[in-house]
This record gives sequence, C-alpha cells and structure tokens, in this order.
Amino acid sequence: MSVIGVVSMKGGVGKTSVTANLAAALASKLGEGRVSLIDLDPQNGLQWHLGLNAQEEEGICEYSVDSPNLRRLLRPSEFGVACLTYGVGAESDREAFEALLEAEPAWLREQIKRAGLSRDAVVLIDTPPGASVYQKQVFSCADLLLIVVLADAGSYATIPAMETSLDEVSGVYPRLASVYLLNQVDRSESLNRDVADMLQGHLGKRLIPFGIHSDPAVSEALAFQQPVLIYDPHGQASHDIARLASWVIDTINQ
Amino acid sequence: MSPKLLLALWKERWGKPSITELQVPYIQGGVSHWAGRLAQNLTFSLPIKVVASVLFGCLMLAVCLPSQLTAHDQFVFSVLLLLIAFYVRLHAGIFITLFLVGLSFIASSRYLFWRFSSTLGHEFDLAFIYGFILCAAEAYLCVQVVLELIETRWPLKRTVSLLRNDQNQWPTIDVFLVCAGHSSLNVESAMTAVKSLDWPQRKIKFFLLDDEERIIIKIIAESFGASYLKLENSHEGKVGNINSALDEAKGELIVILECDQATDKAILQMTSGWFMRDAKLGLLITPHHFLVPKPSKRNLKLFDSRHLDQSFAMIRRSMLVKIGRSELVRLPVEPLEFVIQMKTLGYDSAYIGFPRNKEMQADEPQAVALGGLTSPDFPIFRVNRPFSNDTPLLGLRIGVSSLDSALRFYELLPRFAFLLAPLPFLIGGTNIIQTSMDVFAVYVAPHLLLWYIAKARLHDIRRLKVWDEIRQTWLGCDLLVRTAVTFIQTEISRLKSHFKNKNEIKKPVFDRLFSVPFFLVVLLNLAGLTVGIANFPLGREYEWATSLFYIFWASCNLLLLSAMAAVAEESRHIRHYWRSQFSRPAMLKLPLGRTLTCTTENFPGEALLLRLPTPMALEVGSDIGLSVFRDDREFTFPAQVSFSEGIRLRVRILDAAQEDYLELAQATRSRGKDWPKWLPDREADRILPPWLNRPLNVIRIGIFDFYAGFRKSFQLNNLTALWEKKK
Repeated sequence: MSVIGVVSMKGGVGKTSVTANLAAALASKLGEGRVSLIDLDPQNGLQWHLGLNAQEEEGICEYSVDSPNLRRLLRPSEFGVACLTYGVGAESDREAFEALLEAEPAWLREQIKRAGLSRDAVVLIDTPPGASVYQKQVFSCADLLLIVVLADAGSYATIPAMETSLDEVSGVYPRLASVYLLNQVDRSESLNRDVADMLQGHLGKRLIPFGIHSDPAVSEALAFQQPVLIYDPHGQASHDIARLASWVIDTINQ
Repeated sequence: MSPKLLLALWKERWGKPSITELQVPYIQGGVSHWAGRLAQNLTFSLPIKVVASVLFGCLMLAVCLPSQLTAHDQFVFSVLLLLIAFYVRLHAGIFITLFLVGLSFIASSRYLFWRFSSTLGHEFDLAFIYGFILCAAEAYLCVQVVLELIETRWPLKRTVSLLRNDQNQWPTIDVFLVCAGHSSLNVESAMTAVKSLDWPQRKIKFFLLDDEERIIIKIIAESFGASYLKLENSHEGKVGNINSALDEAKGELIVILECDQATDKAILQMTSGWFMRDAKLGLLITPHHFLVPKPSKRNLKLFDSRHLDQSFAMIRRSMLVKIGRSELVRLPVEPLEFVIQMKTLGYDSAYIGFPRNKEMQADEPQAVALGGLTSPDFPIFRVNRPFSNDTPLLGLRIGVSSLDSALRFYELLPRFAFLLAPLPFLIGGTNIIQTSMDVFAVYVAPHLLLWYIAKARLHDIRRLKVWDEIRQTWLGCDLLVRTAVTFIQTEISRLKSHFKNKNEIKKPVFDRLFSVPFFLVVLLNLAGLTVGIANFPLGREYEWATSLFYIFWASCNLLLLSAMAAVAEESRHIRHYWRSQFSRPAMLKLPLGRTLTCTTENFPGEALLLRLPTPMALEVGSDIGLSVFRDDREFTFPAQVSFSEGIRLRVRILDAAQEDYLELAQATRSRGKDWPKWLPDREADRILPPWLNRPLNVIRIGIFDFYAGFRKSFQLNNLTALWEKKK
C-alpha cells in the first residue's frame, strides 16, 4: 500500500484540484477500487471534484467520535476513486478531532493500517495549507509527499519553511520522500517563467521535471463536478495530470 | 619522446593549458599518436594490460597455429576460448575489443590452417578445386575483418585549436552553400542558419551555388546579401566544379556546406584554428553526426578525408587554386583523388572529432544503397594507385582504406562461394570438405562464434550483425550488375552523376535486371535442397551426417536469401522517405485561454503544421500561444493560425518570435551533448575504478599543479628581475 500526501505551505495553490485529478488519473491507470482519497481539510471540498455530495453523511471528523472502521466510511464515486470526506461536524467535533490528532501524531497511520486496505492500494491525502496537526499526520503515514507550489513569489517564499519542517521530521520518518510539484505553469508570462526557472535551479531534482499547465479547464471541471481528465481530455492540464500519474506510479514502484 | 612532451600530452588530456608547440598535433603521425595513447594509458589504465594482451596474442598465435591437436583437445581449446570471450565481452573498452578480435583471429587462423592443410584432399580433382575456392573465400573474409578492424577501431581524437583573441588576425572565410537539388524552402532555412554562424561579419562571405539558374534562389541570395553562382560544367555531380566559384571567392578559407546540413554556430571558430596554426594544412573535415545513426559504423574513418561530400569541410583557398589550376577540381566527387593531389603538393588534411557538425537527414539515399559497401566515388578500379610510386606521401593508412574498399567491392565473390557451396555435394555428390563432421564442428564453431562476437563488437550499437551481412550481400548483387552495365556502357562518369543527382532518385534503383544473380542463386539453392532431400534416403549410412549438414547449409542460405529480399524491399521504402520527419510534443493556448495538447508534424518548418488530438475549427488569423517541448523544457511562441481543417492546423510564428524559434530549431537539430555516447571509447579506457582514480587525481593535481604554479612564478620573478636590471 502506498500513501501519498499532498501538502503546501500556502493556500490557493490548487492542492485539492491536484489531489482529486491525480486520484482520478491514477484510478484510470490502475483500475477501479485501488485508489482512495482522504480529505483532511476542514473545508471539506474534495468531494465536489468527484461529483459527491455527502453533506448529510459523516466524515473523518465525526469518525473520531464513533471510531468504526475507516474503510466503511469510504464513499465510491463514479470515477473509480473512493473518497473519505472531512465531514460537516459541529465546531466542537472539529476541536475534539484536532485535539485527538495533536495527542496522537501517528493516529492516521494506525487507522489506515487498521482499515485493512489491499496491498496494492494507493491512498491520497489532502491537507489544509500551512503547518497544522493534519500536516503532521500526513508526515507520519505518507510514503511520498507531494508539495504543491505555484510559480510565484508567494510560493517561492514558503519553500524555506517547508524545508525546515521536512528537516525536522526527517529524523522521525527517514523513509518519507518529498517532491515539489509546480502547478499552474504558464511560460508565456515572464514572471511565471522566471520563478519557474528559479525554482528549477533551486530545487533541482526535487522538482518534478514537468509542471501542470495553467488551464481554465481545471476550474471549469470543478464547476461540472468532474475530474479534468473527463471534462477536457485533450487539454494540456489533463495531459500533465496523466503524466504526473505515470510518474507517481513509477516512483512508488521504485 | 621527451618527458616534456609526455607532460604536455598529459596536461592536454585534462584540458589544462598546455605548452603550445607541443599540443597533440592533428596530424596523426607515428610518434605523437602513440605518445598520446601511451600517455593516456600511463595515466588512466594499467599499461601492463596492453603489453600483456599483445604478448599473449602473439604467443598464443605462435603456439596455436601450427600445433596439431586431436579432436578432443581442439574441443577443449575451443571451449576455453569461447568461455574467455563470453566473459570478456561483458566489459567495455578498446582493449577488450582488441582482445576479442585477437581471440577471433587465433580461432580463425587455426581453422583456416586446418582447412588448408587437412580438409582439401590429396588429389587434384573437382572436389579439391571446389574446396579450395571455399577455403579461399573464407580466408578472404578473415582478411577483411582484420582490415575493417584497423579501419574502424581508432577513430581519431583531436582537440580544438583556439583562435587568437585579436579578431583582426582571423582569416577571411567564404561559405559555399550548395543548393543544387534542394528546394527554395530548404535553401532559405539553411541560409538563415548559415547566416547566424559566429564569425565577424566583415570577414565572411556567402555564396549560393546552384547547378541551374533559378530565379527564386537568386532572390533568396540577394535578400541575405549573398552571392548567387551558377556552376559551370557541373554534370559531374553536385559540386563537380567549383573552379568558377573560386574566381569570385577571395577568402583565405572555404567552407562547403550542403543545404540539408545543420551546422552549429561555433563551427568556424572551432575549426579554423588549425589553419592558423599550420600553414600547410589544406583541408579539414569533421565527422558525420546523423540524427538517425547510420546502420553501420563506417563513417568514422581512420583515413582523414574519406567521406568528404557530406561532412563539414574547410579548405584553404590557396591550395585549391594550386590544384584547381593544374587539374579540374572534383573535390566532393572524388575525395581520394583530391587528397592524393593535395598530399602531392605537400598539403595536409585533418579531421576534428569535435561535435560540431550534424546531419539533418536520416540517411543519404545513395548511402543507403552503396554507403556500406563502398562509396560510389571510390576508385574501385584503381586499387593499386595508393601504393604506386607517384603518391609516396599517402602512407599506409590510405592504403588500408582503399584495400578494404576494394575487398569490399569484390566481397560478393566469396559470398557467392558460400551461397553455392552446398550444391556440389547435394547435386553432384562431391564432398568439398573432406573430414568428419565432428572434427569440422570443433574447428568451425569457435571460428564462427568468435568472428561473430568480434564483428558485432566492431559494429556495436548500430545494427544487428546479421542484418549487416544480409544487406552487404544484397548490395553486392546490386553493385555487381551495376558495374557490369557501367563497363559495357563505358560511361562511368555519367552513371556517377545519376547516383549523385537527388532529382533522379525517384526512379526505383532496384530494377529487375539487378536482381538476376540473386534469383539465380535462390533457384540453385532450391534445386540443391530438393535434390538433396530426395536423395537423402538413398544415400549410404555413413554419409547421412554429411548430407544433413549440407541440407542444413542450403536451408540457411535460403533463409538468408529471403531475408535479403526483405532488406531490399526495406531500402526501397527508405529511399522514398529519406528526410527525417519531426514530431515533437506541443501545446496550443487557444484564444480564450484553454489549452490543447498536440504534436508538430514538420518541426522546425517555417509554417508549422500541427496535428490536434481532436478535430477543431479555429478562425484563420486568430492569435494563439504555441509551446514546443524539448525534453522537459518548454518554449513558447506567439503564433497565428494560417490554416485549420479537422485535426490539422497550420500556424505561423509571429515575426517578433522568429529569432527565438530559429534558435530553438537550430538547437534541436544540432546536437552536441550526446556525441561522446556514440563516438567510441572516449571514456572507456579508464580502467581504474573511480574510487581509485579520484585519490590519484588529487595527488596528481597536488603535486604537478603546485610544480607548474611554482615554475610560473619563478619565471615571472626572473622576468621582473631581468626587466629591473635593464632599467
């Protein structure tokens, strides 16, 4: 089983879109039933990307109260990806959940282990931006950390902070691999191009050699509650997502 | 070899500033060449390996050749040889190749010796004659392997000679761009590329050479500020006679380029340095560097200027004038002729192994047909010329080169001997190999296997050896008839111009007539096989093994012959699409911001044709963004739709971005970095493992650089002292 955490230090970098689209692409390559998504973001937005509407049902947040098997909460979507939403619990539920996570940094790892997913399953976890208890949980259970950045000054400035927190956890979880993914690339804009080149120079091999192109189809796809691969299969963003999925499969196979 | 020279060579190996007068000269002369190799070996490998392998080879040969072993001992010996070969071939490097060839040579010489001495029979009868022909054919092919080894094993390693900083001292250069047979579109893009060559504008002139007057080319020439020249008397070939151009071009150096060549910007600076250094250097060429590698490795020649016509060539004008006035200059048509003349006048030729010349085209059509066998320009019927008295300066190297070419031309005869060898037994019942099959097997198996291993190694990545053999045989057939026809017509030169002229290539060259010998051999083999199988039950019991052997041989022949037919068919297709097509991943940014992934169909064409994944109608004239990907890098250009229909879209890069686009095109077509990968044995000779090499380097740098620095400062002190004294 492979766990991929998607994190970022800054909000609005398209993390949730990347997670959902990548999951759908992985599912189309690996086959149905192998890819699961866990939404650890209190915004609870991941489900929309997959055409789910689980407002009424409980997610991982309420789950901590009842603690049944995590697998039973996974909801199948029509795109071959099962999704565990964050849940729309009351404020008190969230606080209780966060307190639990704070107390047990490896809680999620235990839960995923307990869920008894198949050996070849792939789990993707979406997190809220910035350092948080959720991010720490991801550090504890992920095999591969996908750090989403934009080619702008804001993202560039957050890299040192990200590196510091990675350094801190590298002692605890030595097998955690992390790579940077450049999102919303547009080389026809000079600032975007320059920052992308700078990032390339700065991160070297830790930056995935291809980014995901800026494409309105990604946000349009969300409006239609579809992965972009279904919505606009011939767009460059879809092409990049598919390539990213192949790259991820190659990486976790290694 | 002085210690100073050794030091200089060795410094040069590390790319350090060396003593100028002692830099490895481009002339691959005796002393310096061996000194260079020795210096390399001393520093990078155990010299004992060279010495030991040579000694071992000689010793083995001396011991093995005459000694008569029993079948059992020969079997053990063969197994031993093969085991060594199988183990050793896992390693890279020129020594290993030499060693393998040495093993192959031992096995082959043993085999040949045994064949000549023990299997020919004692009476002079038909069986003896057949057997002798077969033996001779085998010996012929062995000699050829050795020659091929000598020719291809030592690609010349030459460095770039830097120019002086003062641009005023740089030579004036005339660039001849040969347009004959190229469309105006090609000429234009080639001219754009050539125009961007890195050389002071006032010291360079451009000439477009054409064999017929074409207005459009003339206009292109004018728009680029180049001169347009129609070559006179150019029926000999594309640049049969550049004499007339010499009247116009007055530069010191002349560069001849074809329109389908993509040259690197820096090529002039890389190559002209040697001309400045040596006044006697007349000609310099760089190796072929095909985008699609040639199927066989015959373009890396030991001989300096063999395949002149498709490489970058730089020539000294004064020399050309000297030759040109005395005799018709037929430079690219007959490189050997040219070089002979050149050397007779005391000029030298050089060859730079620097990655600066690239071929746009996949393969020259005529090269497909004849390149591997022999260049059509090569003087086949004048084999003896290089050894004759009037060209004493040429030396062994050209001798080897032309001997190999000559052998290669007549190679068909031994090949036919092999293809027809089973027939005497199958049809006539004459056994031409008079020995028992088990003894034959223990002799022939190591010979064939080692021969194959060694030859495959000489060809390395190019192509499976079997296909090369098949191709050679087929081309042999083709060439045989072709030559016969040529002789009858006695219009050799006209036929040559037929091969040369790309316009006429459209005619299928493999006419029915050319395949007559081929079908004759097929029929004979078929007949032999039928008779052999029919007679098999009638034969005596002790002959069964022999019959089976010959039947097997005939079947193999048929298999080879049918493969030949397939290869011939293949070449027929290749010649229709000889220009490589360029498909690259690309991206469109549509007017409303959406993107579309697509591929280019004719990159780097002027009007770029794109293939879309889905039919789409775009308004002609609408502005779009185009990204072309190269590896993982993306290059964006603003563009305009000029044609749109279904999945095909033609766009025009906006003028503002044209320069960037051309630069990308240039960078994509001209390849530098992957050069060392195919240029053999650049790095393989470093036998010491890196963990040992590194500390040695540290010591080396520590000691010698300190010494060099010390000497320099010492000299400087001396000079200052001297200067103060004067004052």
